[in-house]
Order: sequence, then structure tokens, then C-alpha cells
Amino acid sequence: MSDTGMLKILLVEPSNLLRRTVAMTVNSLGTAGVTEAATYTTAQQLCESQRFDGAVVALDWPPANGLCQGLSLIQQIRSGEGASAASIPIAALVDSCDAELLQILRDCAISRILIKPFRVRDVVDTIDGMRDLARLATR
Amino acid sequence: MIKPALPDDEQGRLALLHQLLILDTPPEERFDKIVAFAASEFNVPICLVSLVDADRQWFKARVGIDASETERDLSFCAHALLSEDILLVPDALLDPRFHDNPAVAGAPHIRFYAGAPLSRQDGLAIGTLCLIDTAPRTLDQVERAILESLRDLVLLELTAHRGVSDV
Repeated sequence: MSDTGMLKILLVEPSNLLRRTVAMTVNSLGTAGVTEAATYTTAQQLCESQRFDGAVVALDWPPANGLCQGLSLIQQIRSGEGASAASIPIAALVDSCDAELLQILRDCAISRILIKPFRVRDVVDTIDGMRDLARLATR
Repeated sequence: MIKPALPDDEQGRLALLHQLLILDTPPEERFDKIVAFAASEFNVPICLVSLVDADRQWFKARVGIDASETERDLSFCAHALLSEDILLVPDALLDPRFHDNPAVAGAPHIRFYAGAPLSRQDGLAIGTLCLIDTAPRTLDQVERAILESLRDLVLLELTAHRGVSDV
């Protein structure tokens, strides 16, 4: 968390309209600073170089070719490979959620699952709600 | 009904609007996507990118309304140009500016209106991104911030590749 107490959040979402609207809204409200990633490659690079207090990650589920890059990113964070604390709160954005994915997300200690159709408001509120968990994670 | 006043620099505002070369152009997906997204986000039946010309408001993008333009004197958006902030009308029937407006008394039976001005940093406003509902309602702080973000995205699209700076 920054010296001003502002959460630093990574938002990984390929949809420009959703990602930009969430980031601009949260940044303008001043409740958190959102760093955007439109691709998982960009997100992984950001995770390696920057410390985040929380993350919101869109998942490509079911995976198109057997590899769910979003889950790989989450598992990378949870393993402590990046610059952030391994226990930071992570929310997942999904088109749908079956039993297999639900179990995986539980195992990854995901703090919130948003299933489409959700609103920008839901993502903004989810980020706002990460504050207490982020404090615990960065102690 | 109270007719909208003219903004202080009406000529400068119109010059900026005409400089964009966007009036009476065909629909474009980049704007259509934003109004569809906003209508879904706020669960409203009507959402518009409205550009206020000298005597009319013309809709660059629209959801929930067939008309492509209406008279400026009847326009809620022409009122919204007069402030930097969102014009919020929770219930048009209770607002002396709009209670006997034909669009309130008749179709599309507007009750709620929220218009975010499409303004340049110097205050020149060319139109709005607006939400319209047929039932009274309001917007809280977060919803206002979301509408302003979508408005800023419309502004970015309006000025992209046009060489219009300082927006």
C-alpha cells in the first residue's frame, strides 16, 4: 500500500471498454490506483516488476487450448514469484463458472468471483472491498 | 417549460463542434458500443451521445430512440451544456424546466435524465453522454463517476485523429 494509504490494484481484462471504465472510475474516486493490463503477457511483466495490494483478473475459462493464462497468472502470484505478497486479495472475472473452476478458485484462495453479466459498479465495489484483506496481506 | 439559455461562448462552441466534422455522419461502432455499454450498466432504456448544434440536437449514437435529432429548444442536453457537472434530473415532472416538455408529457415519457457534458478543458461543451429513464431515479457518487468515465471515453473518441487538442 502506498504512503497515502491508497491501494495499488492490478486489473487484467482484455475488454478495453470494461477495463478502461473501471480504471478511470476507481482512479477518479481516489479509492485505489489501478494499473491496467489488456493481456496476460503484460500482466506477468507488471507482476514481476511492481508490487500490488490486490488484483482483478479476467479468466479465459474454459481454456481454448488447454492453458488458462489467467489461472497461471494467479498461481504465479500465489507462489510468491512476483513482487507482490503471495496472499494479496484476488478477484476473478469469468463468463461462467463450473464445479471444476470453482474448486480451482477456492484452492487459489480467490476472494471474490464475478460472473458475467456484471456491472462496472460490481468491479469498483470489489476493489473497494479489498482494503482490509490487502492490509493483512502486506503486513 | 423553460427553454435552455445559450452558453457564454456559443459561437466558439459551435465552431469547435463543426471543426470535428462529425455532424450527420453515419453511425460508428466505437460510439455505439459505449452507449450500449452505458445503457446496460445503468439499466436505462435510452442512452445517447447527443451533439448540440445551433438549432437541433443530433445523436451520434443512440439506444432506445428512433429519432436521429430533435429541436434544441426541447432538448434536455442543451440545458446540460450550461454546467461543467452532470445535469441530474431525478424526476422531470417535478422540474419546472421540463415538467411540460413534450418528451415528458408524451413519448418517450422521460422522467429521469442524467447528462454528462462533453466539455473541453476551457469549458466549451459540444454535447452530452446522457442517460434517460421512464421512471424517477437518481445516481450516487460511484454511478456519477462511472458516467463521467464513459463520457471521457466518448471525448477521447470524438477527438481521436481529429487534431483537436486540449480536450
